[in-house]
Amino acid sequence: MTKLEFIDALGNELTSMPIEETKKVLEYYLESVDDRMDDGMTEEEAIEALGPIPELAQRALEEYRQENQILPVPKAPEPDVNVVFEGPEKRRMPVWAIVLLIIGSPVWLGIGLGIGGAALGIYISLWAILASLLFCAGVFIICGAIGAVASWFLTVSPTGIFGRVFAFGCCLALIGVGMLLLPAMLWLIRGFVSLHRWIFRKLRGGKKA
Amino acid sequence: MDAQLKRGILEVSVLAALLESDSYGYQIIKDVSPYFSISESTLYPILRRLEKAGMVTTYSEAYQSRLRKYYSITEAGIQRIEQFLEEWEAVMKVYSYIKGEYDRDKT
Repeated sequence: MTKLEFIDALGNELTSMPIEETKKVLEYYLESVDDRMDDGMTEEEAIEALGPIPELAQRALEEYRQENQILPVPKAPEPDVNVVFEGPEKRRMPVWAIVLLIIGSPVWLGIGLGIGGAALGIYISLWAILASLLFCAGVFIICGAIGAVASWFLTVSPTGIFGRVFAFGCCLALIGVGMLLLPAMLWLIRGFVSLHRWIFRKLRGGKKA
Repeated sequence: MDAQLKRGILEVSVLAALLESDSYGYQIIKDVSPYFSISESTLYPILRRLEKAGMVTTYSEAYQSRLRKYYSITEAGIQRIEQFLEEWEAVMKVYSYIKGEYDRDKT
């Protein structure tokens, strides 16, 4: 029997335990298998040395039921029994998921932090972009306005009235860009915020369902 | 032997295996094997119970790119051993008496 077959077989016997408990049991036995293999046994021999799987399951289940004060499931229920004591709801997780959980557990934290950190960075950058563009819009308008007024008093203009008109025109253009940019940025930021609310609603709706 | 009595002895034996240094499942089995053979499936509930009773604590440490669960004896665990030794000293005396009478009777 291979490790995967072992996980599947023993996992099947433990479906009445919560997944966390099943994981502990599997990790316990798999650790022993690895230790035996370090001692020179093959995977088959190491797994066989653990004993018959029903026995492993029975001992683990008995211990779990005792710890949680669960009365044992009657083996052959009589037809007229209308109350059956059972353990917690059966929860079944596919073998590959259990294997991944066990094999990957030391790695998850590192990966999680990495992905979390990158996601946070991207999110902060988005806010920074929105904020800075909004600021630019404001700056354009203000500077454009100041410039428009000041342009009439330019003394360093190249060609007199034409210089001043040109400068005035540029400032007006700047104000125009700002006035276009400002509502656009406000609209984008409002959209970004409502995206938050939409995501929030989706998450909460998902949990209720 | 009474099952409860046997379980009690096994529990204290496991504790004794942890006195010298922290240990792990398979190593504990090897340590007690000169005295009795115990399987992982028998050891599992014992370790669980000892942990729940506060007589051992556990931690995980990396070993050759896998995680190994180590068991460590606590002060309560040491007290349990001392209690066992005390109780059994009296038993040993009775044993000597019984054996003495039995051997004397045979000769």
